[in-house]
Amino acid sequence: MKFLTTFLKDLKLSFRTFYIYIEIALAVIFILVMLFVLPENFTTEHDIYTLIELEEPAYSSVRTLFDEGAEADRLIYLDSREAIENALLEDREAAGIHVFQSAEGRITYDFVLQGYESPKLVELLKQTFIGDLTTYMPDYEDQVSITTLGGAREKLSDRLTVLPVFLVLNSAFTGLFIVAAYIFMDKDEGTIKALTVTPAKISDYLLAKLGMMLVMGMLTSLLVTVAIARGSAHYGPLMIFMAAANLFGTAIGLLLTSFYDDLMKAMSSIFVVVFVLAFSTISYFMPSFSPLIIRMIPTYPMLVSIRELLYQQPNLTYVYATAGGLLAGAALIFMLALYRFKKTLTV
Amino acid sequence: MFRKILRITGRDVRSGLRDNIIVYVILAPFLSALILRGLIPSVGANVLQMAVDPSVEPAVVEYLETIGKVEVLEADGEALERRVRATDDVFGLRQAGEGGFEIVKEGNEQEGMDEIFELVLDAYVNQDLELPMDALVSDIGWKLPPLKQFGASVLVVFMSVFGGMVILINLVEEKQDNTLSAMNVAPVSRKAFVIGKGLLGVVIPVIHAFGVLLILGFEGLNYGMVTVAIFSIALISVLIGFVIGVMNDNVISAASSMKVLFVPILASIMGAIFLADKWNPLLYWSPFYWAFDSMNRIVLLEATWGVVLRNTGIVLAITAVVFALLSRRIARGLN
Repeated sequence: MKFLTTFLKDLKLSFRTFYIYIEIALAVIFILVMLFVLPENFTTEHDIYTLIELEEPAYSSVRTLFDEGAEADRLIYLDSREAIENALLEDREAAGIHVFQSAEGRITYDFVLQGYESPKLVELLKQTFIGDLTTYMPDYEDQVSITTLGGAREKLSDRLTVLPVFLVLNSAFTGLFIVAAYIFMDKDEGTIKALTVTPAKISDYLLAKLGMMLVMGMLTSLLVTVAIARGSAHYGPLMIFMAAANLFGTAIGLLLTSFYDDLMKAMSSIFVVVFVLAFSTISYFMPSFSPLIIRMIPTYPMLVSIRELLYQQPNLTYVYATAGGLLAGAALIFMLALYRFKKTLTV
Repeated sequence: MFRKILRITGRDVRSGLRDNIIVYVILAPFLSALILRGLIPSVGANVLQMAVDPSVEPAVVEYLETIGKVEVLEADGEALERRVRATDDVFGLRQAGEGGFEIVKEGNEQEGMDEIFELVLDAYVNQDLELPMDALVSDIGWKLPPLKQFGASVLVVFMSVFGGMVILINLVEEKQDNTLSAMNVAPVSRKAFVIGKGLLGVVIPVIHAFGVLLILGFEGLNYGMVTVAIFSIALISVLIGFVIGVMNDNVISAASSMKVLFVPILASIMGAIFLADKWNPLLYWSPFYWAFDSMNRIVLLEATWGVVLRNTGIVLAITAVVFALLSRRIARGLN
C-alpha cells in the first residue's frame, strides 16, 4: 500500500518533469526516421566490379551465367583489369571478378579482393566457387543434406532488425540512464530526509522508482513497436520480456547510484557500463563474430530474444528463459542496491 | 589574462581529478582503443563456424579448418543439436552414410551461409572431378580492415562528447554550488572565463585523437590533416559543453541532455557508415558527419587538403550558426 502510494506519487511527479516527454520525443523521432526518412531496407550490398576477357562463345556463356545469377544486380562491368583495381581503390568494401583465358588455354576466374580479408575467408571463397562448379558436372554426386532444427526463418527487414537495438538501449535501459538523476534530485530537495519520518520504508521508495521507470520503458517500447513492427510482433511475450529487461536495467542503475554521492560521478560510471553493454550490438549485427565474452554480456541475449519475437514462429522457450534470468538478476541486484542504500541514502 | 585563463582551466582539472571524472573521461577512449585493437584480428577471421560430430573423419576436419572455425564435439548424438541451438551462428555437421554429410542448422543463421557450407562440402566430396575452369584469388594489397578504419574514426569523433562532458559537468557544478555568480563579480573578464572553461574541451579531444590513432597503430597518416580535423572535432566538443551546460540548471535536465545528444552523434556516424550514398545528404546538417568524413578519408589515406579544409569549414560554419543563435541564451546562462 505504501509502495503503491509512493509509486503513484512518483509517477505523477515524473509527468510534471520534462524527462518523460524527452523519452517520448526520442521514441517519436526514431519512429519518424525509420518510417518516413529511411526505406524499409536501407543498407546496400557492395558492388562487384567485373571483367570478362574471353573470346566467343565462351564470353556469352559466362556472361549469361553472371546475368542469371543471384548477384546480377551488384555486378558492374568494366573494360580492363586496371579499371577493376582503380574501382577497388575508390570503394574499399567492393570486390572484383576477372575472367580470362590462362596460358594453358583454361578459363580462369580471378577473384580480386582488397587484401585485408583473412586467409580462411579467401579459401572459403575459392572452395565455394569450386563447389558451385562441381554441381554443373555430369558426374557430380549430391551427398550433402541439410536438416533444420527450428522452423525456417523469414528474413527480417533492416527496419525490424534495428528495432531490438532501440528497445534494449533506450526502452529497457530507461532506468539505467536516469534513475540516478531522480534519486539525486530527491536528495538535493530533501525529499529523502522527509521520507525517513514517514512510515514508508527505503524498499518502498526504491520499488516506486523501479515502477516509475517500468511505466516509462513500457510506454516507449509499446509506442515504437506498434509503429514499426505493427502486426508482426508477438506483443504478449514482448511486453513480458521488456518488463523483465527494464527491471534489470533499473536495478543496475540503482546499484551504481548507491556507490556515489553526486550525480556527475555516478553518470561517469553509468556511461562506462552502458558502453560495455552496448558492445554486444557488434555481434548482433555481425553473427559470424560472436565470441563467448560478448555472448555473456546480458544485452546479447536481450537483443536475440527481442528479434525472436519479431519472427512469425519465435522460440518462446529461449525468450522466457532469458526473461527469467533477467528477473532473477534484477532481484539480486536490487537486493544489493537496497542493502547499500539502507546504509547510505539518508546521509 | 592568459594566466587567469589557465587558472580557471587548472581549477576545473583539479575539481575533475578530485572526483576522478577527468580520469574516467581521459582513460575511456584509450581503453576502448585497446579493446578494439584486441578485437580487430578476430573479427572477420572466421566467417563460417562449425561444430562437428565425432563421426566426421579427421581429414574432413582438417579441410574445414582451412575455411573456418571448427569445434570438434566429444559426445555424439544430442550434443550436436544442443550446440547448434545455442545463440551463436554455428552450423552442425555429421557423417551421413558412406562419404555423405548432413548439415544441421537452427534456421536463424545468417542468410545464405548454409548454401555456402553446402557448396564447400560439395567441393570436398567431388574433389576428384576434373573441372573445366580454374579459380584463383588475388588482391590489391590494401591491408586496413574495415573495423580498424571505421573503429578509429568512430572513436575519434565519438570522443568529442567526452571533452564536452567535462565542460558541461564543470558548468552544472558551478551552477549548483552558486559559484558562477561569484565569478561574475571576480576580476575576470567573461571572455577569459569562457576560454578558460572551454580549453579542456579542446585539449581533451586532441589528446584522445592522437592517443587512439597511436594505440591502433596507423602508419603513414598525414598528421597535419589529423590536427586540422581534430580542431573541428574539438569545436563540436566545446559547442556541446557550453550549450548543454548553460541551458540546464538541474541534474535531470543535464543528464537527459547528454542522453539526447547521443542521438545525433550515433545517427550521423552510423548513417555515414551504413546508409547507401544517396541518403548521405540527410546528414549534411550534422557537424559530426563532416568530422567523421574527414577522419575516415584520413585513415583511408585518400584525404586531400581541399576536402579536409572544406569539411572543417563546414563544421566551423555550423558551430558559428549554433553559437550565434544561442549566444543570448549562453550569456544569460552564465549570469
